[in-house]
Amino acid sequence: MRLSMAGNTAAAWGFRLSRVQCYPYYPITPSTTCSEQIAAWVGNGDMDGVVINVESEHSAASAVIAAAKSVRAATATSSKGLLYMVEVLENGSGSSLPFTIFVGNRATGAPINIWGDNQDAYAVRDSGLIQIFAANAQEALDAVIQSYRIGEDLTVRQPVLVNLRGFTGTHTYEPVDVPSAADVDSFLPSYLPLEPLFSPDQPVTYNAMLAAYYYRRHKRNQTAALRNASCVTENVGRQFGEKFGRSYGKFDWIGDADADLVVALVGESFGAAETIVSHLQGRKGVGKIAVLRVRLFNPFPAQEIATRIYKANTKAVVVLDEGLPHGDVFPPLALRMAAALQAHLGTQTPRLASVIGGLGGSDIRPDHFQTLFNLAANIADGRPYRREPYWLDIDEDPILLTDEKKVDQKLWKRYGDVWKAQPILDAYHKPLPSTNYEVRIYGRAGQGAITSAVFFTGAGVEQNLWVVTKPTFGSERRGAVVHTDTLIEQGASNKTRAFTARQDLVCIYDDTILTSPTHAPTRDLKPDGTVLVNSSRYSPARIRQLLGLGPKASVFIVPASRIAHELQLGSFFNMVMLGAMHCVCPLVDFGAAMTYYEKNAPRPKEANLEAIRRGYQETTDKELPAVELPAVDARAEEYFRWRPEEESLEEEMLRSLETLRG
Amino acid sequence: MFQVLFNSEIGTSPHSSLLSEPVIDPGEYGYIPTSGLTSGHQGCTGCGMVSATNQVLRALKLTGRYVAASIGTGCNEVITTQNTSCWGKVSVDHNNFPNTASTLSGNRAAYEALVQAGLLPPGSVVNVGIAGDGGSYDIGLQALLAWIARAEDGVYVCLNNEAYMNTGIQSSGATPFGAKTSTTPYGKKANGNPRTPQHLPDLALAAGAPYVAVASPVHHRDLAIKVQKAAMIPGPCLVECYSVCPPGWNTETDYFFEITRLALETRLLILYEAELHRKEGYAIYTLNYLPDRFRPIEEYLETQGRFKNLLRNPEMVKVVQRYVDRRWAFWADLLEHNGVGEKVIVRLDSVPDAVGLPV
Repeated sequence: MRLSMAGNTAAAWGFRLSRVQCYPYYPITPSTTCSEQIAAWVGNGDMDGVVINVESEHSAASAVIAAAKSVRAATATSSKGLLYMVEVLENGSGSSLPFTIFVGNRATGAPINIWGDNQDAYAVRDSGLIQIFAANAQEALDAVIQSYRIGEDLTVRQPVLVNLRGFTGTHTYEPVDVPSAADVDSFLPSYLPLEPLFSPDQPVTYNAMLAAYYYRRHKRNQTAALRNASCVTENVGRQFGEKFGRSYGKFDWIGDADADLVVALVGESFGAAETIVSHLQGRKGVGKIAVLRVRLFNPFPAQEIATRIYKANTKAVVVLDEGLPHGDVFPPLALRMAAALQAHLGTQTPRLASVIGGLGGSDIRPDHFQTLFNLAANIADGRPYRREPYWLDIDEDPILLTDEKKVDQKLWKRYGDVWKAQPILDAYHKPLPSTNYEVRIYGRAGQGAITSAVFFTGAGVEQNLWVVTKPTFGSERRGAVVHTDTLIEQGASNKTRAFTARQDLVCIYDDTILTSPTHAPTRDLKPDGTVLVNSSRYSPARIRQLLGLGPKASVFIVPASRIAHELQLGSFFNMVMLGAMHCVCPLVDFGAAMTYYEKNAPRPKEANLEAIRRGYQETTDKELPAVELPAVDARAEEYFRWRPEEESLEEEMLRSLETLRG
Repeated sequence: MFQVLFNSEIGTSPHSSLLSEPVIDPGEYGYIPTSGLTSGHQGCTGCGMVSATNQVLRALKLTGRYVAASIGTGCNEVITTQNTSCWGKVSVDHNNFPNTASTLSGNRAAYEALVQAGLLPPGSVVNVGIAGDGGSYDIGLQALLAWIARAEDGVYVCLNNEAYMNTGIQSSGATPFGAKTSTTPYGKKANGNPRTPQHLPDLALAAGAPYVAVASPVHHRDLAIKVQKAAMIPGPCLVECYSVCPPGWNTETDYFFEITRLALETRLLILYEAELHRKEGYAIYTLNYLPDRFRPIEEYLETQGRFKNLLRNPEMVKVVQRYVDRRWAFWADLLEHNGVGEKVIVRLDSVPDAVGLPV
């Protein structure tokens, strides 16, 4: 069953299909919706199990570890929540208890930051947990199911962390194949607690105090169990593939088998890296390249990775970390890579550079990997390079020198020679063609822009299209301008998640955004792109003028607010816009989409369906006949029409005096 | 706040307003012919906590349910689990210091899930949490009050020895005023513990626990009945056990009984229970023990080295005496109803000798 869902929901499906019996949770952005989904299912009776609304992540971890002694247990968390769990987590690994925590990876601050990076997962790398990094929603679902097979294996019995980058992973809506419950049941047997707590015939004491002799032996066994997880992960990933058609290993190697230049990373950024590898591979002037994506971060498959690199005879490895070194030689992934290569290859170790990027929700775009491969090519050429981490997207400290004036002078003294010796190789920077259809919706928070994009995605996925929607989230509350991006893949199916940020269609839900210089909504519109605006007061020609659009761009308007008002939907005009989107974007068949909406439209269903239909019909590139809107309150109308620049200060004071006099 | 009602009868009864059936009364001496902790524990001679744990386990076994104990890190835990387990036919889940209540919660949820799945019969297990005062008053308070707020079924036993005895007698939220601990020393500027202790049963009742009780390992029948009530009453119930600690309190090891008796006769320790009818908005308080005679607080303080310096400062002793009197005044209506009201309000610190009061 292929459904459109976000990463958090996919992880929740994983837990549901794994028949998790106990789920204590404490909300934290961005993993919250996973727990909300579980609570909803348990509340509806769709899922058997006991949820606990604990008062902190510390208690969530305590409860999940307690419950894992008897039943299959899980929770989800992020960032500080995971750090708050740390004190307890080692009791899970030390007591040999299998359970799974889904982590929506997020920056750990301070400063407070709610967006994605891997710092939280890195912070618990010493807590003895198995760590799997998923690259997308599908992998998150699959990894959760596999995590129980891995963790519950008799040679392992250790807790598992399933990581997915916050927002770009957890909140991106994408097509996900949900396996049937029967198939998962035959893949994943029900939980067998080895030392059940509620066992009158065999009382058990967990986490007794062990003195040095017993302690060191216990810890050695625990370490061996964690190492066992390495080959168990491989086996389980293969068996999963045999059953469900999607195989997984400890790491992926995408690109040339004998790549000289390798970029290593974990997690969701893999999507963008993959796109660049297939874009650059085999081009003239580009060396043999590959992306090494580490899926199993803990236990780190050091020997296997070193062997793979040795076989490829790789010359240079650039490691991208979405986390900090905190005073160490490299950040965690680079450190592990360096140690693995040095320990296993000795003098054969390729050169290795570390790059820090993607911190706190910073974009990791396809073009970043073009720079990284360029860097790798320079390093492989024997050019000088830094032995401490590079940084992505720091203007005064670039990886490759583009503008000497921008560079920090102190850094220039230190790294000037390195920069000068590192050429920018044009072959690596060939722009990625924008072959997919990209939509961006601008709206004000609360107008349901994301909801309509999610519906659009759902309808597309139902028609077997590859549609991905990546909303942006922040601390914006109602009324603030927000946007969301949708991608419809065209041509060969690569299941891409890489947005080029150049839109074919820009939908503007609120015509007050049209003139906003901060948002410049059509800045990245393709020349032949389309603009769709919810407006009753601007003509398409005026909009073209306001946005300064070229002649090839087309402009459509739909009086969505008015239609919603007529349908008594209040201010909920997003379904009208949804219909209008279908009118201007023919890629998702409207008729088939309607059957999807008939099943899923929000209440009031009929009115919303009618709204979609009317949005589809009444979208036009012509000027609308002037309609006199019923004035609700003449004075209010006047107030809203008033613009400060139209009046002088004296006039304004006079006016306010008049208002005071009534 | 809720309305406070008093049980007109003073004493321990196996009946409860929250239970349709009485719990098992083990008789005057409170002897329960089962095993609690087994041999091999490393506790001190004269430890109140070990005796309390032992009796708690025996009492829980009277319910006929299997005992699953979630225990917090502390003296009680390390002396009973080092390299072996002294918990006999009881399953023990030691997690960490601050999370006894949330571990209890996880175990309760797991049990409920197993009952849902039909793998265990309902009502076959009693989930008990056992932690010290440090793990309950201080570091574990968040988890404990949240567990009570969630209204989950279980028993929480706080073994209150009034300081962090496991780590070497540091003051906790339960340490009495003026007591010397390694973190509340005596010196030119410091006069021992400057804080008056918190009272966990009050906190628990305010948080919504249906049943709270203060018990002592010297009063076996009272303790056994209270623990059984806590196990049988649905919801999060709390029993606090007064636990003598000879090294922590700097006392002789064979004064267990005498110290407890003095604590009761000076009224520093009050054995009582409270049943909260949360939805109805009232609580019924029962005084379980009325001493034959009341003594001035000095007599209790003199038994323990930790109060040596406090006793040199008469003003501080008066503070303690006032604290004790005011807390006892809570029971004034009840005592009056039982014909002892008048005599109770006597300022004992003005009376040099011990005063005996007939009941």
